[in-house]
Amino acid sequence: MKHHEQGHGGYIGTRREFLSRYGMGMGALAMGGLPSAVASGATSPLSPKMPQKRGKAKAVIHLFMNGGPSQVDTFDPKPELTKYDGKKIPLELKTERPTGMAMKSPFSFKKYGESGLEVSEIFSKVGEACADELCVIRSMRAEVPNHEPSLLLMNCGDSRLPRPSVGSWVTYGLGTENQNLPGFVSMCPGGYPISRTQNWQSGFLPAAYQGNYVDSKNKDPKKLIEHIVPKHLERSKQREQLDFLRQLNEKHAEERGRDQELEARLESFELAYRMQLEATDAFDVSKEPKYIREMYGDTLQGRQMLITRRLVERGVRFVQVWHGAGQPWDNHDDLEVNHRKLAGQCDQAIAALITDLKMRGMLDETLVLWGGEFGRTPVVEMPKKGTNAGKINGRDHNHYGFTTWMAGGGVKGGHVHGSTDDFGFAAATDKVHVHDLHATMLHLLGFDHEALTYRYSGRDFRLTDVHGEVIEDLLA
Amino acid sequence: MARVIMGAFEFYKLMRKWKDTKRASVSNHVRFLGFIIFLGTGNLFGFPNSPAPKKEGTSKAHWAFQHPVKPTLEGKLHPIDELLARKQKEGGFEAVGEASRATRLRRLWHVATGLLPNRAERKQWMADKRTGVEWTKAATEAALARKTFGERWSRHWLDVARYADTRGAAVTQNEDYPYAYTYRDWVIGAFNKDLPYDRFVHLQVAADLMKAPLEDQAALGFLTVGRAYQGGQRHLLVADQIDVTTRGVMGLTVTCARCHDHKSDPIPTADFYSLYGVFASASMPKNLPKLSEPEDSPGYREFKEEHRKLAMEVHKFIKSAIPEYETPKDLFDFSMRKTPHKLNQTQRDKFRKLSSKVTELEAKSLYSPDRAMIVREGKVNNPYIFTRGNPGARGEKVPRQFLKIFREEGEVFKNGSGRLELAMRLTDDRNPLTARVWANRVWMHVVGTPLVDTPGDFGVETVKPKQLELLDHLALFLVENKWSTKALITHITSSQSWNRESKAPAGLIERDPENRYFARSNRVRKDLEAWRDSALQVSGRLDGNLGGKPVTLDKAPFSDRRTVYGRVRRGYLPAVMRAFDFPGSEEALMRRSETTTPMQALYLMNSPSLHVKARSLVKGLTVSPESVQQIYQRIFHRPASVEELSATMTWLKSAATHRTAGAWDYGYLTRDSLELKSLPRYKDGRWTGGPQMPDPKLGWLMWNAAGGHPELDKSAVLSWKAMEDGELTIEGVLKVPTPNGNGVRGRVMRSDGTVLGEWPVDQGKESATRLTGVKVKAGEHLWFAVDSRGEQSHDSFYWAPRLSDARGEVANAKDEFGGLGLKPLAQLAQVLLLSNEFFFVD
Repeated sequence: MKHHEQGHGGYIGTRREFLSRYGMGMGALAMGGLPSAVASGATSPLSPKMPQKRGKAKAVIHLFMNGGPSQVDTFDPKPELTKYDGKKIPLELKTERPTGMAMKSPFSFKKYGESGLEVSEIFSKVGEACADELCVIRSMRAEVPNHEPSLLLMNCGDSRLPRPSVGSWVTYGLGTENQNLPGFVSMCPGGYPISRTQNWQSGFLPAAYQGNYVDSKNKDPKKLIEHIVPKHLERSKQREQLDFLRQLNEKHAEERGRDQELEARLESFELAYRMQLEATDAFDVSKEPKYIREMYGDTLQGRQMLITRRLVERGVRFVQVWHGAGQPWDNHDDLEVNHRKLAGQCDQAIAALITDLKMRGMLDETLVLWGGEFGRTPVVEMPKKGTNAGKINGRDHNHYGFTTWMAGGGVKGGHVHGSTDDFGFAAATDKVHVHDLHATMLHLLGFDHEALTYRYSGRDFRLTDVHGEVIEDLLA
Repeated sequence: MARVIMGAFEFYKLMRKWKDTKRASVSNHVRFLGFIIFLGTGNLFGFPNSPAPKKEGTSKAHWAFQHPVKPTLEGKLHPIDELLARKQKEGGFEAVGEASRATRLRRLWHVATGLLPNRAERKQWMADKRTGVEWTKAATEAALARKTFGERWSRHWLDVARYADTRGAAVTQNEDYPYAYTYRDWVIGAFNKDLPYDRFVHLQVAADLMKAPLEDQAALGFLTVGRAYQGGQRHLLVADQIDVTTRGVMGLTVTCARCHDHKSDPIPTADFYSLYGVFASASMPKNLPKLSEPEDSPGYREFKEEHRKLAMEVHKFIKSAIPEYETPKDLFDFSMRKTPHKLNQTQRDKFRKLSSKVTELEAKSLYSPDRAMIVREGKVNNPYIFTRGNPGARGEKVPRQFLKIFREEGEVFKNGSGRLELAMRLTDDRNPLTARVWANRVWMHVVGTPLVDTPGDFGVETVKPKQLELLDHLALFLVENKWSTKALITHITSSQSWNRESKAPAGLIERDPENRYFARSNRVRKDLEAWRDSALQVSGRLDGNLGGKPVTLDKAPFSDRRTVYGRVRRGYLPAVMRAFDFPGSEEALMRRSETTTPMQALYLMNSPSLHVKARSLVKGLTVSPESVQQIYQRIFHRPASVEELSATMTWLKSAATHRTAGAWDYGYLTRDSLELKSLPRYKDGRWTGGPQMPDPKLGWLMWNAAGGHPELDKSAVLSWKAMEDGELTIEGVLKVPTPNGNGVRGRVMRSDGTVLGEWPVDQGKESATRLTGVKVKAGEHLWFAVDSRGEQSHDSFYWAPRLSDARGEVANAKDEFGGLGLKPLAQLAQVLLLSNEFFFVD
């Protein structure tokens, strides 16, 4: 894990120390076959764990374009659609709201890299910098054209029931590399996306696996994690206070035959003390050299992407990055203006993130996923009072077919998988359901999605429920 | 299974040896552990590849579906001791001795009340003449008679009932269940009255059909406090009611049969839909019955008026959108059927916003009358199977009836929806599950670990527990004693086994790490409630009032009520609840996970709510050995040992004594003087001259995180102390928000009076206060002083300077704003409150 050794020697030692200390406790418990060792609390539920087999990816970054970006305007060019512009297409699919004639993409596409991957002008920086890293899936499909269930499907593998999110499953399966930071961080600038905290819920998994929400609009690194700053004592004095606590706890444990649970709790204060420094440091982008900050751009998206890299670099397992509060990509009106604006906000930052990960040798071990909860219709949305501004220049929700892409973490670069029909409406060949995407992600992390289970309420639950197939064509 | 475990254990020891000799790297070591875990376990960390538990026969032969069998007993010992002794003998275990009386007293009060025994109780029970289990029995009865028993045990049940005060993250408007607390209070009362458990169940499922008194109607909250689903999908709501009833009461996972027949248990899909018909026949009415009419008071009258006004606004709005709309007779009836489906999306949003104001007022006002969250029978639902769980795919019709495994030939529900018959069927003697399930949970809460590891699932895949005879004995005891929970608790605590030490020889722990043989007692970590409540108790802050509307736990001023009264905001639990394994309340939870994380430690170290408790605890004490002894006594109920006392005194002498925690301090300068004086009082986010504003001496002088207020002859001064030498840029905006008065003057000064910058700011105006190249030496102070300009009314100002050097931000008055530092004795109290000795019960 090369990327953990860059300039943050401090925690490696402590993490190993922790493991060697708790490795023992963990093993002894395993012997007992405790069905609820998590419940016994003898070791941190977030200690790093080995997957079933060695996976290529060790961390996940999910760039969530919430609201649903349009595939035909980003990564799925459709010349036929341009031909039919303003005409009725020979394809009828029921849409959530009334829709009309074909609407061509207002953006031009260009081939990039050696692979010649086609990318829309609004993501030209991503195209230029990393086309050969992208593995574009053009044949995604979800279940319904509504935001809430689709968000839950994409994030938790079920559209309705309170199931654990992908990030919770992954931290449950792998723990996290750095005990001084949360294992699963969900960043959204300016508030919550819709469906709010459900998007990163831990469901029936222990609460320790829930995503830690961070409002990345906040520029002050100290505000990003609750209770991270002691306000009642100076740090050096707090150290002395904790040393005294340690003395008390040591004596207490000594008198009780050094119970593992007591030891784990004793240790958690040391972790917390270190976390105070490391967490604020991780969120502090001012610590980056100027050229790096400029590469990402001094913008909201630039900052949150840079924080993302700093977190993954420090061993955070799963980082979800939302474009913004609510559903910014939900452009029922003024698609051209809005999509250009939204892509303009994140194009450079995403290109920088992938370039930067690659530069540091981290991309191979970091799976980046880009996409929304669904895509948008190739046909124009018609006016409907109270649901749009009636400008007839936007697109409706579309779960029949949409695009996501992955990069790094063991996926094929410069690759396109599957296709939609001639108009970009529905997935046509090599269809990939959200469950299949999840199965593939888990595979890349070293898990058989059918065997990463949690027993709850009388049965073994999994992220993919009874569905999902690993898409071999995506793997490098 | 056991052999695999032992095999793995041997293998592990081998690896340890190998490791020691080869000095294998830690990561290898971890890898081996991982490997062993795969080999050895069921669902340790739920590591994948865990073999599914072996099927113990199938369907009807399953142990849990058999009637409990009365074990044969010799009768020389307490039945629990006799049954455990048999197993201990088989396993070759020898039980440890009795714990000290002080330990047992604390254990008992923890189990019964979630609190510590108070001084009088300690005095009484330490001196009581009885001995051994006689003593425990008497003490148990006394503890169970406390009202605090209901507060403790209600929470156990509220986990099961997925209790919350809101509908959850799936809704954006009308989030509150303003009356959920009446259900919580009913549960507290039920435990305190020792309502027989069978009736406890009946009322929660069918109080409306039982001619039960009005107060008991609140029990129906069991069916109605669940989460809301996106788009109000009714079939999911009903599935949740089926789940909480079957899993919660019977330990059967009936909802697994929603889409297909249960994979392992004899529960066909038809069973799910039979129950579906029962629950889908009832729903929560819009207008909930009042449990009592509040006494007439100005507050109540004001509430009624406001309530009416808000409701009228809803109707006015609808009327403006739909001219033909007629305001209903019942002003609080906003039911959708009458109107709003004619509203478009935007109007509908507005409608929701307005109508949620009505609910919000009900939730917030202390005067809104208590109401029961009842259900009422509607049109009887004749259920049919939803093929593959899809409500659009109509399958075969099914009758409303009880579960197939326990149903008699041809037995269907006859009266209406059958909900009352279902309620009765849950606890009748043809159903062996309910008593066993409750006995198992009572054992779990009293002893620390359950007899059946899955307290919400007694299905076919649940392995027969090692102590089945004991479980059967407890279940039969419960039924024979009129389903009295208190009797069952007393029965358990008055066994020798419950009174044992938790400390045990290493050999015993190694051979029985999970304590399946109960040859020792469990050491238990306090859950959030028990810890927070006992911390409030020892700090002298605990508010002993019973019941009432929920309070906010995580915001200052911090509530001193017991944790059970904390508002449970489903989907948005406060950090403290999330950190300490509080249930998410989305679904029924029978057993909490218990994690140890640095997030918990961060909260304990840095949350001001803890500092408040620590300060109260040491009020009036000064640093001295006597004070230290007092503090140990209050928190640990024991004196500090000689070594502890000397270590404590040594640390206290070097502990921080600063007035504030950080580099900032808040004070004032009298005109023409350079002697900085401190503002004496800090409360609720501001520094002032005293409890009253204006203070008789210091007038309106004040500082908070954003700015402050000067006095006529005194400037308000924010003082910052440099920790190291440096060259700083100072930024900030001084602003006088009101257009009245005559503005202020701001200055940045050194403590020798040198003025570095000066900015007069007129009323309603602002000025950037930027200085560059300000050199400071470590230990030096910079002052940010604001004077009134001859007239001090309307002189409130905003000013929160930021200091930075070439590397970035050095200090920030707003973000680093803080109150009093923690004095040495309060630091000591804090340490003791978060120590393992306070957190664990031996």
